[in-house]
Amino acid sequence: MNATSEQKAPRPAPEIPLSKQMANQQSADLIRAAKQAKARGEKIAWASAVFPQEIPEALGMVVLYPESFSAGVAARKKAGPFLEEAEGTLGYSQDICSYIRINFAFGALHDKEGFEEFEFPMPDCLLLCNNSCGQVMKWFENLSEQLDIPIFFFDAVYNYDEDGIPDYRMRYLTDQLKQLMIDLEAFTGKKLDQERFLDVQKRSQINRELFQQVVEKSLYKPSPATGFDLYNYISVMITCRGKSSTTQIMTQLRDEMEARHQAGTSSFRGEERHRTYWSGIACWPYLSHNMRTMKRSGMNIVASGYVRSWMLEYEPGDLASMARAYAVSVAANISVPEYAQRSADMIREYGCDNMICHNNRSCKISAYNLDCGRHLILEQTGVPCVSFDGDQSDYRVYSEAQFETRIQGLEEILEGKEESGHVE
Amino acid sequence: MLTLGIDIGSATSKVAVMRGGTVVLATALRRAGIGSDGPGAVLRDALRLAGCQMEDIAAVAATGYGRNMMEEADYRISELSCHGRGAHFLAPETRTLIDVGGQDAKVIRLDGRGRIMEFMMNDKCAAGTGRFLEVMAQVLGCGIQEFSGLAEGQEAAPISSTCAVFAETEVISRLAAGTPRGSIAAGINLSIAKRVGGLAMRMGVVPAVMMSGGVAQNASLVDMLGRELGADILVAKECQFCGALGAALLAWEKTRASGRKEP
Ligand code: SF4
Repeated sequence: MNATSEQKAPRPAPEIPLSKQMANQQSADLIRAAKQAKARGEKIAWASAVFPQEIPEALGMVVLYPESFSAGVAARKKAGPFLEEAEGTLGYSQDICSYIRINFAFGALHDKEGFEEFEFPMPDCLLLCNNSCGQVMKWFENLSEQLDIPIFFFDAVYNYDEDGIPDYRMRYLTDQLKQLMIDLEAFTGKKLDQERFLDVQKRSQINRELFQQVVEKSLYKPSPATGFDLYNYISVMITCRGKSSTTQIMTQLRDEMEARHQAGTSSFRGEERHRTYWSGIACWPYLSHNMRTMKRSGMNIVASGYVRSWMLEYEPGDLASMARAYAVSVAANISVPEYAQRSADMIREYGCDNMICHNNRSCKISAYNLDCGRHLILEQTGVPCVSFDGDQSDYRVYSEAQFETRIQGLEEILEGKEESGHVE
Repeated sequence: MLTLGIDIGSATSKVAVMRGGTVVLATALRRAGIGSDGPGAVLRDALRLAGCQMEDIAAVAATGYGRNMMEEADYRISELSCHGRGAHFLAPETRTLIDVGGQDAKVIRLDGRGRIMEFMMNDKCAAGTGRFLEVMAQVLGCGIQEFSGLAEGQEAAPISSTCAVFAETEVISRLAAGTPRGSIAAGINLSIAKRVGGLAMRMGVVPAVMMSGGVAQNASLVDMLGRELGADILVAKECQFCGALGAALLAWEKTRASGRKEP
């Protein structure tokens, strides 16, 4: 027997759940559909993360989401060459959102040798909504100029008072959707079938409801999933929330989570001693380090406001309610008190005993909400909280040791509370 | 029962040896931190000063960024808990502890028993930390001890940048413009005081306020920070040993609670 065959057999790779396989297939299908559409001479689009997808979907237009693409690149730990290109040759500042830097560099590198694995067909137009942040606007303006393609813009208007959206603004929002239909019809040369539009709206609501059910499985104690798991399915809701393939994926995922609960198992590989509310986007390149560190302290993410950004609830057939949903659902487009209220409600509903905040260098708006809203959340809930510095897709803005210290410190606070019987 | 706390930081290693969780037998410090021979050397120094051997120690707790590398440790505890417990030992009235170490600045809220209730730390960059101060001292061509004396009683020249890289350029151009070194040093202290003060005020400052870490020896900075916060700041003479003392104390508490036998 030689030395190699004497070595221990490698551990079998963990089985990929069927829902995840389906999600992977869905994203491969989307890229294929984009390529085929281009080959047929049809127009395809790139869209910002929470654009009213119902309209292009009903028109049969293929839409890709560059933020999701950048997140995927970072999660696969392949962001380095893109960040270097953006900051080096292209001369963009490191202060710009890393999703955007990766995307700009992708524009410059996509047809170069060595970048074949990054399949993401280039757009013929841009679909932009400013409900996620202001940087997206500059990003798309820049792309529009470089690629010489039009932008179709939905101005969601920042909300200072989401309960009191005045009528004139509701009309402004709704009329924009109507105009969007007209403009996209003209651009694609396709006619928008109202029946089909209604079907897509209904499908989007079915998917939202299913995703909600998935998220609510974490109400179980212990939760049958780690919150990081759900982050892996967000791209399904971002890119395909109006499609029936999403219905199948979410149904499967919901059933898998229920089955795990029934069997007393969980994808969280530790004992769930503490239930965490995670505020902010994930730190994609360090997902596994975050997870390992938190597992050691028995902390499982059971709730996150970020995940809820794609739960757009409205009445199919009622354009105004759809417009309103796009204006008020995303955490980045609501007032600080409302952001804090939603966070506090989730902390209570999901029985969280601590909060971890990702102070994201890229995403100024989420860092702003955190800094300004944190004390409001803590006043209401009284849970201990830590924040750490990171970035969703720039792997250089993170320190493993600092994350570990903060989590250990948080654990020690929680242990102290338990000892003195103060745990809520 | 003898317990030992070792605090391995980025720039220094500190040890405290205690008896029965009340008496400090020895403290020792070396200006060499993680990845150097500092931790081993300081351990030997402290044992020698305490007049004992490693075998006499009932429990060792390690803290600081190098805590996980300390093989002899029975406990590895975050520097937050250790600093908190150390501050409580030095001044039980402490409710807000501001620790500025080599690599980070932290503000810790303590309860009446020295346990952490809440904390905030600076972000990943060196602004407002000992490292920032070291870089600035280098630019001014002096050691860190001399730096504090230099700044004493001087009018602060405005240093607007808290980024070590930008501040370095700013300091060089001030020197070139003929600004006295003392004013520049005071300006640097003020920029750190504002940064650390901001961190403390974000959490809320409950008196009594204590400052620990090597930077607490910089009297002009402590003074400025006190003015920023509108509070008197206690600085214990053992301010650099807060973490090591806390570790030794927690090692004692944990060992007692676990009923482990003394060697
Ligand atoms: S800054 Fe935040 S909201 Fe804007 S594109 Fe980047 S991640 Fe998205």
